[in-house]
Amino acid sequence: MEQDTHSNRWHLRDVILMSIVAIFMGIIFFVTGFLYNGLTLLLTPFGMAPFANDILLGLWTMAGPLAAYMIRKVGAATIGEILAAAVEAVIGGQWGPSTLISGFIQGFGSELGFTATLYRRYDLFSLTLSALTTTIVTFIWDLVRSGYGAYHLWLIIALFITRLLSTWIFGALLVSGITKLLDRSHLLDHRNA
Amino acid sequence: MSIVNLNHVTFKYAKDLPPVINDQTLSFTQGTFNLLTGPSGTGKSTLLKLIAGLYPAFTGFLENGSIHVANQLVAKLTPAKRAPLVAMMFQNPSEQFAMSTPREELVFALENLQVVPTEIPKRVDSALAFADVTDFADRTFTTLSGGEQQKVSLAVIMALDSQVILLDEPFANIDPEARLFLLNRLTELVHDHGKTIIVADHDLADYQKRIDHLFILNEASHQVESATAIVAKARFDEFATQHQQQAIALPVADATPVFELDHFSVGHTTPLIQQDALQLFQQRLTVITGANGSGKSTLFDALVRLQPYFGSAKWTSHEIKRLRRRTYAQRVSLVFQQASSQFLNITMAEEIAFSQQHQLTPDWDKARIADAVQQLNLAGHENQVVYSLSEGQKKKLQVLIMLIMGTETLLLDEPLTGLDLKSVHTVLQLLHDAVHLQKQTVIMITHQLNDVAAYADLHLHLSTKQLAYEATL
Amino acid sequence: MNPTLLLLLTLLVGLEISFTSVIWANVVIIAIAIVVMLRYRVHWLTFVRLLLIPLIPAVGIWFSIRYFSTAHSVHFAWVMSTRIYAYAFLGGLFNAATTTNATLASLEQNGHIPTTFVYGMLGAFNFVPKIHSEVAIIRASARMRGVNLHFWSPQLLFKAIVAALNWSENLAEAMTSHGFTENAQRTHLKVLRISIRDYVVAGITLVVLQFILFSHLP
Repeated sequence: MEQDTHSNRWHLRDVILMSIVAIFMGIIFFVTGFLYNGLTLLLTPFGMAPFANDILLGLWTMAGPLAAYMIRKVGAATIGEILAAAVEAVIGGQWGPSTLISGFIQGFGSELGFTATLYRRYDLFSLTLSALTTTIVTFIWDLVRSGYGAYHLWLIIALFITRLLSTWIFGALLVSGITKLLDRSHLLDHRNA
Repeated sequence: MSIVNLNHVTFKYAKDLPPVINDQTLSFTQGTFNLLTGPSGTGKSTLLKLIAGLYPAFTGFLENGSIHVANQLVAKLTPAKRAPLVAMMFQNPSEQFAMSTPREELVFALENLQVVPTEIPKRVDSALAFADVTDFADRTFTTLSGGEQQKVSLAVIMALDSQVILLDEPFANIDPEARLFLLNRLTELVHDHGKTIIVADHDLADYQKRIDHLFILNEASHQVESATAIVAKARFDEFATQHQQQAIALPVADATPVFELDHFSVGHTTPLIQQDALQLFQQRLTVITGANGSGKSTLFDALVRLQPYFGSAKWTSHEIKRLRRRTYAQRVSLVFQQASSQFLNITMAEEIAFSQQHQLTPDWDKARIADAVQQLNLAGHENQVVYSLSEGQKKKLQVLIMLIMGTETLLLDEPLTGLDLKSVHTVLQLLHDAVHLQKQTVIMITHQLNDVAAYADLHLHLSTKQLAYEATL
Repeated sequence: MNPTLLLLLTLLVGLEISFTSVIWANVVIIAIAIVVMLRYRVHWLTFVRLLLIPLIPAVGIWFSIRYFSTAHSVHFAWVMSTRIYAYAFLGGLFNAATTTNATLASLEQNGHIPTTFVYGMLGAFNFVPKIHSEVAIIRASARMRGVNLHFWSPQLLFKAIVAALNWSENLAEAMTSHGFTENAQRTHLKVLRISIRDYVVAGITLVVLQFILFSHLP
């Protein structure tokens, strides 16, 4: 187990760490499943059900930026989010193809924000950039998969803004709050030394 | 013939920190049983992990020196090549397995060593039998007790057939029977199989007749020294006689109960406690004792609603499982066994300020807090990150921040672990004051019994699933 | 069927129906999944779950497409609703046909996923009960200090990460001590292969799917 920080290889403890963090998020965010169903039910009579998904999307995409921040390697966000999706698939008992595909799309979206800063910045700026790229990439995917492309333009724009806000609040602001605590605790120092 | 050799080893956790192991030269002889002791948090575990080749690969810097096992430089070997030479049993039983069942874990270990598949079942079965694991070999780890998990750990080491077996405080959370079983098996491994064993333990019970060498870690020099026969004997004698039992009162008839148990039982898979009737009393400092793994912590978990229970458990006449968590937590609080579970902030000063901000009574003002910080020898650490404090400092801070809260009923799970004698007295005095000056109720689980009787009011002992008051402590 | 091949197949099918709009394809997928699940004697509650869980989003999207799509298309509304069910039943089929451990073992041997990922993930699953109680402990510990933590409180996830850092370090050290070498060769007690029959079944499935997708069915 050579600690070669220039390598992009994930070490065993990185995989275990992010898998455990993913299980934690699954358990902590379990309640939001009810929130999602409640919101969908509430919005269905108005034909506004997709908003439930976009309001909460930031929560499901948090694993990517968190992994990027904690692991600091090229591809960390992508792999971290796929890992989270796989963990969710196993724990939730739904080894569905859609979970893994969404995981890849979301992770790839988050990744681009960090790629844009050439993996040099890990702060609110890169997290915000990552929230933006996550929104764009996942939204393009949902234009096809979730039929968003068929909607009127005003609805598409409203959904996009909702999603951008959600990924920014959870994926950038909340993640930044967590990572500020992590930085101050110096618990990651020896890993990224 | 020596099988483990350390040559001028200096190890640090970070480049700017002082060394944990300093210029250590040491060897262990093949086919011997070695016990390593010393104050907690001084580097016993670090030394074992260096020998196991886990450090500095995982953490820290080897500033100087080299470590050989069976004439091979451990740092240069791959884990698969290293495991047949040296393997380790870890402190936390449940945090050492990758697979879901004991049998799968043994297969996993042998596959790692690239053992040919046809040989795997044979080696697995004999290792399972040796460690007495066969009966639960296919149960999932999450249903096994700490003692059973450590037996599995021994089975893995047997399957790997490691020459040197390291054990890092392996009995901290397991019951006495499992401990004795494991000690007997280890002794057998030394005498019949020529294995070399190095075990780090602060509890010296049952070792005297088994071991060949005692090693003591010197806190000041950061070096391990081999104890002479006279020093070793003195250590064991001191350990055997350290606690003198003293008389303590039994509950009086008209005392007001705080907790009442009635046909109560609790336990994860099998019941650990089955109690027909029991009362715990208000405004007393009650001490609970009992063997490792007997269910003391589980009782506390049930009392603060972290664990479901059967039957009835009442707090001031209210059934606990029906109380609202949010309000109940303001009346009954727990000082966790794992100190870091208590912390919500980053620095010590923040933790104290946080408690002050949310305290339920004004008993603890700035001056009193400053005084306690001084007495607990925590002064000067205000801006230190709580996770980087020593185990003893964490414990003291934990007790302090919960005392500042001023909760009516305070449960403490092993608050004295890793504390020096002066701190033990300070903490006990603070708890005594909480009961007799602030009229709080304090119930404390402890292993460390020295001088506790002078401060405690009552003693509850847990054995064979029952709690009972005793007249001595 | 071999889990790796089955996973690839369900992924491909899932992707294809995401890019096409054929109700019949979705319905046939659901029907095949039900047949396979019946063959594996799946508990009836699983069927109930698979029918109920997608219900809310499926109805939700039906109405939103019906009201707010530029064509107000009933056809497309049904495509979207059945697509959601098809995803769910593909998952149900996969779960019925294999287990997590078998899937990960097959991904190691047949899918050549790095062993670090396979065994790192497996190891993490042993922590599920501990993770449940750790979340309860973090929340209780905060309540005892007079604050309530919510899913959006940074402290809650921070404390979770602190625990995860400790556990991952301990488990990685223990696995290393048990001889695990990152991405090195290992032997296998049970050698897994993909049979010719599996390839044939997968091939036929894909061919049939193309027919349904591209034969102008609604």
